[in-house]
Amino acid sequence: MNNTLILILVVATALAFDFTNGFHDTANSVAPTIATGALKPRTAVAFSAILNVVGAFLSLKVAATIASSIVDQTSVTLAIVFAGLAGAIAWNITTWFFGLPSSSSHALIGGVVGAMFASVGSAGVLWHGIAAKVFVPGIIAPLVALLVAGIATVVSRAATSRVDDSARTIGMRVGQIGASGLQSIAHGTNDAQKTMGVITLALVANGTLTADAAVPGWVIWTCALAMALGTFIGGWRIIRTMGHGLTHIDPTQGFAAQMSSSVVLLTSSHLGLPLSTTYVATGSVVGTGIATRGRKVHWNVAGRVVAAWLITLPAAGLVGAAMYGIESLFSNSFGEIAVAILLAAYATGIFLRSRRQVVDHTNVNEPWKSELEEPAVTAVAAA
Amino acid sequence: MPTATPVVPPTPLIDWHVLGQVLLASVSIGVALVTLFSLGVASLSVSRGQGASGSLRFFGRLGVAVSTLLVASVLVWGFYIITQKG
Repeated sequence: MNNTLILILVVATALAFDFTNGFHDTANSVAPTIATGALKPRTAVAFSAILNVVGAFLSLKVAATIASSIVDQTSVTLAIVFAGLAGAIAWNITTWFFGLPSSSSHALIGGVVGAMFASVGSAGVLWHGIAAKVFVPGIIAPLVALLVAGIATVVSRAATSRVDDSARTIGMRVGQIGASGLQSIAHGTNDAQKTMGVITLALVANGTLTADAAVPGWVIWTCALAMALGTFIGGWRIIRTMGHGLTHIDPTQGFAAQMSSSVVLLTSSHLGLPLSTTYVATGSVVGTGIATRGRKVHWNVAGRVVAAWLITLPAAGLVGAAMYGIESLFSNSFGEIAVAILLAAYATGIFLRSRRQVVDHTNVNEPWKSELEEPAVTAVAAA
Repeated sequence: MPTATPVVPPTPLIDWHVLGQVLLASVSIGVALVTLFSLGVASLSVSRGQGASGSLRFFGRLGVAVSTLLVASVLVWGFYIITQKG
């Protein structure tokens, strides 16, 4: 009975994480599309949401579960997965509130590692795996994307230098829509599968499924739809930071950035060094800003984003560990229920707080007033 | 003390070979695609330009067709990778 209850809680929390993953990562594929007016804001997120679903069904080969090579597989329990998911969701909601693009996958890794640390200590954590799979790609991703997008911007401007403005704008916007679609499909394939992996892991741990069973159809459907719903609702705060906060983006830059991101993500994944979508997309946008003469890159916004990247793992880890601590205070399933209530209360609190300064499809493209406009600063000032 | 004995993977922290491949492939494919598409946009503009001669229009249209075909084929290849890798 207790196990069934925990299983239901884990599945529900995994889907909630999938939802936050969708709305957190919308910005990666649509921010430049929206910023340059290639698509209207709501059309852009709807387009991306549909292609995320397509992506989720494109490949049903479950990627190695998120925990592999990060924590000791034999020590993973449902309670650890649950606490890890709670930590990841809490961090995703927090960074969304501050309009900061940060990696949902790294939040999940941080949460699980924190919970594992609280459960069995350092021995359960594969530090080498974390360094190799999280830190190194985390440094490489934005730099590679920045380089590719920077060169692509310069070349694209040179190639279209004699084209009149309106023809170039139309052409580049069409290109942006294509690149954004490609990115959305890739996101659906990669990220929806992570949650499918987590839910399947939980079902196996509970004995509902055998270890070699295929992913049940309902898991695929619910994961695809939760992510699509999150994408459609759109993390407008993050879209605004990515589309306007880092630098001003024109259609040529937008196309160069989005095409570069798609290529970097696909080639790196193909070559066995998968890079974080968020880091790549951010690096590309900054790269096009640097490569455009007279374009100002808002380095203090970029700096804040990088700071968020640096604390993603420890912050999600601390919450994951604390949640595991709360779980282990209680017997039966009361700990898990307490964590679920705490998480829901925190999410509600952040949501209500965000209503004080709403960023949505109506004002996402307002001119960026100053480098300090970020929701973070205004929200703190309003407190 | 916990009894778990984690197996440290033998992989190096940074696989320079793979990193080099990623860098080379990303830069060459990314820049090539963006360039091709931009040339397509430029060709389209030439083929529709006011007062363009017949041969200029022809080459403009040829440029559009070639670049569209090349970009499309790379995108198809991208989809292939997605379905293979997951």
